[in-house]
Amino acid sequence: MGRVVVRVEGVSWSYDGVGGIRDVSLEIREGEVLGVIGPNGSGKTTLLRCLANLLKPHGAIYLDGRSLERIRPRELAKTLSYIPSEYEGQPSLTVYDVVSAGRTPHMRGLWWESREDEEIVWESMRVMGVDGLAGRRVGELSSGEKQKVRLARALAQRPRIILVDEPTSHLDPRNQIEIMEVLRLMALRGVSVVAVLHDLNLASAYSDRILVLKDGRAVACGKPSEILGESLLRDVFGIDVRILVDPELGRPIIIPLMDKELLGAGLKEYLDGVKELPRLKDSAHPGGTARQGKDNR
Amino acid sequence: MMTQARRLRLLSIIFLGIILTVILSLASLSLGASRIGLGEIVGILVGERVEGARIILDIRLPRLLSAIVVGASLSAAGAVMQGLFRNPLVDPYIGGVASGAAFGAVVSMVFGLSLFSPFSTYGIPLSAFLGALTALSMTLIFSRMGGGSPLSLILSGIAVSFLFSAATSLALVIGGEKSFGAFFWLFGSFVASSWRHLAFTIPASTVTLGYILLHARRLNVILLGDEEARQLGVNVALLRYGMLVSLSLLTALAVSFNGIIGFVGLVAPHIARLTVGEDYRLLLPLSILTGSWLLLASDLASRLLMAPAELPVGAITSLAGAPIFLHLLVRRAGRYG
Repeated sequence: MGRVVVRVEGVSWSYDGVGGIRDVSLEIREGEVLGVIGPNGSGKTTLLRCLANLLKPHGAIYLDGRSLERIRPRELAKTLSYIPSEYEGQPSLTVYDVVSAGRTPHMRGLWWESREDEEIVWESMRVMGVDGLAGRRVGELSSGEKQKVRLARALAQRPRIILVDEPTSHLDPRNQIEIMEVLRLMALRGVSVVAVLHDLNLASAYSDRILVLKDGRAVACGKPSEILGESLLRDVFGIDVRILVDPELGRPIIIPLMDKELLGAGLKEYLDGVKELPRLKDSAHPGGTARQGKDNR
Repeated sequence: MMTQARRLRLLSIIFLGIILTVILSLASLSLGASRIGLGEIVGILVGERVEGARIILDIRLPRLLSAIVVGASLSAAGAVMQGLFRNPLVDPYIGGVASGAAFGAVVSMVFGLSLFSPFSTYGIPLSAFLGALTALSMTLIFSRMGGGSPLSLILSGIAVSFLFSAATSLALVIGGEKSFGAFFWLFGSFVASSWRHLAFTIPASTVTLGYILLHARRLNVILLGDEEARQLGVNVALLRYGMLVSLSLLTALAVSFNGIIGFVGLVAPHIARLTVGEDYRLLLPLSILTGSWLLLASDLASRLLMAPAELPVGAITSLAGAPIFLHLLVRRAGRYG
């Protein structure tokens, strides 16, 4: 495992005392994929935004031993790239416009990109397979293409750390795998990747380590095979799961099971009216294991 | 190759832009109540003192330059505004600048408040300018109190606009007969353009336009969304504030000296965008040129359509601009579902 690049010490941030993160400590190492999982509202995005220096939390974050607050924004942007979960930019921008914006912190000239900048932009688009779309408007792309363009923008930034929020939501399986493979390849080249993921199986398959957040606190952090256990997942997500082990990779495969006892009161009451509700947990349906996390559907 | 292509495109925009501006300018100098031949115009411009020299040098040339400056200012302001709010339907008057300026001008005209009596040619423009800045400050303060989001700025701009429009209406009613001149000013016109005004507006507008052009690339980054722009090392809050102040300055300058000229700031950037896309390094120069052409043409139309009577140029731009704007709106609705 590589050296520690980012050290997070007792970081807390909340909006008027609601949500956010509480007293999170963490190390991010060179060349690792750190998956961040947790229920909605558990502070995953807040953590990423603190790491990107977009929020000013209590506590301390060090990048290569320097306090994040002391690093000038432009210098930080050369080192670290953050991809928010949704694209909120202008739909009429072209793919080239978006990806070339990644060169902003590196640009010396005031007005045009240099030849070198442009080569990096084209290479980043080629890596993500979107170079053929360079002149297309972002608003006309599919979710998968759009996500690849945003990742190409991050690649063009040539960062040592990539923070990416839900990179695979709304994507089909093929696009999910492609995105995760690129992140893994980046990590193999020494980039530290922090990815917020909702799909537990993608997290398990692609993360070197997984950080589990619940109510803003880090409740576990470690190798997928060490921490992804039934009791932890029940405690954090409030679901029952069955865990198998991938026979080749040795990684945990998580199969969520529906347990009526865990449902909210209203929904439970509604379902109580349905007498013959089969319980997946009882293996009433041998083929029922196909039910997976919502992002996979 | 993309950068190279855009560079070439910019050069051709500037080249064609200058040619078209020269053609429109010559037409504008030549046509009017009395026609003056091209040969004579050239002669006058190089210093020959012939008949018609007064008309060209003291009336048509200042008027022409005002149209160019105002068109350039309003379109650049509109282009920046639409990017800052990532909303293509906002125009430079959104911050309440126009109604503030109108109020200032009307008060000065109707009540003859000679705040600036030593500079009588500047009396009306300066009180218009003060009105514009007051309205803008109010908008910024209220928007800040309302959370500082782009939406809160638009909303507080609308509220301030209504406030000043109401005050203007009251002033016009109270003013009675004296209000007649003010009405004409409100429609916007280049009739009163003079070298003394231009000595003020040309340098001020040029410097502000230059400042905006210097930030063209960073404006591109803002189009990606605030969070992404910030994480790319751009100080979004500072950039937005600096741009807001400079484009309001441009608008205030335009309005104060020439009245309220609608739709140019909205339509010119759209026409430019259809041609070159969102890259501000191309969009801003082309918007500036398009705005100048639109106002040169509108000014010409205002003089020729019902000659010898003259129509207010603001009415012409609104008349031509409204259908174009509606067309854009309808087209936009069909896009990006």
